[in-house]
Amino acid sequence: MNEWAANSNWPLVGHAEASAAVRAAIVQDRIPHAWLITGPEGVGRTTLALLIAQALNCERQREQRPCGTCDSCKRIAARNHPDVLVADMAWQHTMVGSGSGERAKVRQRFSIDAIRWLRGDIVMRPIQGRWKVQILDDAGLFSHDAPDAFLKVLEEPPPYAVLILVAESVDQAPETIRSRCRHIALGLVSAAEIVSALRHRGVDAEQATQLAQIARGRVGWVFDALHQPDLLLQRRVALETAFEHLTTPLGRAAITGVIAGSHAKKRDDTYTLLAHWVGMWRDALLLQVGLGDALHYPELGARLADWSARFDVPTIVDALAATQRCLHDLDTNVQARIALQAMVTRWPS
Amino acid sequence: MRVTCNQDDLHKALGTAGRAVAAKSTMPVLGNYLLEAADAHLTVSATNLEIGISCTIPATVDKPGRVTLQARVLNELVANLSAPTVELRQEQNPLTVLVEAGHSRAHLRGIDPDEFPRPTATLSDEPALRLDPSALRDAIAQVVFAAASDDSRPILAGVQFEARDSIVQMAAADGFRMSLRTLPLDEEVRQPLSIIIPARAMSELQRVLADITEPVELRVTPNASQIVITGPAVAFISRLIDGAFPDLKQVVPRQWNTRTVILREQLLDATRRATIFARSSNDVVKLEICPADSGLDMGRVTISANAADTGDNRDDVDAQVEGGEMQIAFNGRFLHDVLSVIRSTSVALELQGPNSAGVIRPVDSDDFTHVIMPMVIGS
Repeated sequence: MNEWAANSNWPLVGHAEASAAVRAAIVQDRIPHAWLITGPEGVGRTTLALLIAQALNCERQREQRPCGTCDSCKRIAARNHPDVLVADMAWQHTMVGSGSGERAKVRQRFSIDAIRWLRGDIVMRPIQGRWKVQILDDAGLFSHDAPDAFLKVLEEPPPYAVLILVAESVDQAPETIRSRCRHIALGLVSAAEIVSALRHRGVDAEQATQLAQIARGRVGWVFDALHQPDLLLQRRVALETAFEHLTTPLGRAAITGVIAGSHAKKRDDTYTLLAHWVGMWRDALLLQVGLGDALHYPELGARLADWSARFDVPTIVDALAATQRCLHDLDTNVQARIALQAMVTRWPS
Repeated sequence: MRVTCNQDDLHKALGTAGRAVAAKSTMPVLGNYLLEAADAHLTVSATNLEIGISCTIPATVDKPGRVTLQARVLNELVANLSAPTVELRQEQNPLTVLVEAGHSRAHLRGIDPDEFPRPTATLSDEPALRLDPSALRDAIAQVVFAAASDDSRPILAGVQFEARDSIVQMAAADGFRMSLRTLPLDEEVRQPLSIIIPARAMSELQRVLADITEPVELRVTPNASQIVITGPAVAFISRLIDGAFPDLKQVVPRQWNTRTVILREQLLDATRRATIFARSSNDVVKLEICPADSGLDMGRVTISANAADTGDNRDDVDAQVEGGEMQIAFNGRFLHDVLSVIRSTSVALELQGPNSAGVIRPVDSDDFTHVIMPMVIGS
């Protein structure tokens, strides 16, 4: 991969193995018509999909693809290429409408109309490039009958077509679709790789280390945070709030009162808080057993250590389990107030 | 860019090119016109990636250049200008354009013209075909309505366009009906051609051709991805559909048991009346064909429809009938569609039986064939 990376523009952080597999396919000109890229959000799935599209349509010699500098590469990076389509929920909303009210909520998945649109589009030959590429950014989100409609394209794709499905995990795609795709699995990116990528972009060592630690392998988040300092601030505020709720009696009262009361309207907020609490109990556990360098929330480290020092390991494990149980309960529609109260009463004080 | 042109010319060019502006797209630049000024011409282009239309108008070019401007805004603005000439001038900020006409001044903000999709690859000088615009328009009208309008079979949403020897043949089908049309050419085709053009693009081409009187030239890009049709001041580009079009000629029934020649207008009027009643009963329109009793009489076609909650209607139309009696039912809308695009005074209806496809052709020429599947009627 390194030799290739030297010749071409490959701004994917980490994922050496996946990059090598993609490279082999492109250099040998054995292009699968369908790819399935899986991995957690933010590790570079869409970046890889766009890189494949660039490599396929790049105007340079094969060894130098993707160059990142030709008209085709630039258009693809700007998502402005006539033959490369990134279909995501925002695209679906614009192109086939998502209805309003209740219907809009249902349409958080690829609808059959969207798939039909894509099918009608794929039969038209590419205009500017050699390949027509459709990237389905979150293919885990097919609505009920959409996979069957999509299968027709996967079974007999036109010779110039490449479909790239992006999904959270391989289980999200139905077996019929999975078996027709070249699967590329992306894992989390190691902190060392993120640090080195950040250093490469001129970020100083201290900030790079800090960002890499917070990122937890989601390199996309790091780059977002670099360009939007607000994100770091928002995260800080969210963490402080969550920590306050966790550690103070008044905060805990708010969980069973205000937060439980507004859960129906602000579901996402409750889930974010719960995810933070899970992370904090996990950190407390790590601190107890002396693994302080693997914390999710290094910026809370010292305060969390002070506060949690008085709990023993079984107590923390129990609190962690209670928090996870609450997440599960909310998913299965247990009344929010009861689920949250049950959780808080199992937390040690 | 600094260019002056006639307001009326510009308005017309914006209107024609505007047919190709993307109504919805995730690429904002597709909602814009590309304006290019060079060599005493202003060219207005728009594309939605499926079709593209460019119109060229005469203009005084003080400074050549290119800009993109929001289609809806520019179109409305120019339509409402009262001065005879319009000046377009790029401001200090190259993405802003000053539009000045008489005492009216407006600033429009655009998008970088480099974001606009590149025009199609270089084409050969010699066109693949030269066609008469009004003949082409008529031919399109006779086939395009038979193409599939849903997306379930993308290939059938196109019109097959074949050229060889000295004819063009166009075909479209949606599974219930099909149209075949031949168009004679003045010259021999140098390179046989077989492509599938999206039906939506054909309908737009039909509109564009309405304003053209001189022959148009047709070219296909070397990789067969696009077709380009150019007239004196307009260029129309469409993407092509890839795939194998079914061989429709095989589907045309070769024999008939009853052949009816009938005045087209009379049958069309009767069909119109019948569809009113057929609306709530799946558009079923019944045709009963009776041959003449003797050599002195005319035969008769009875066109009827009924709906339980609306009522019913019958029309008797005189016709020349060869062969035996026949009863058949068609979708009234389909019948109406085909009868409206045939030009001849009389049409021939050739039938094999109540459950076989029916053929409709004009009687004075053999360049058009339409086939409709019958609907099943209870006994």
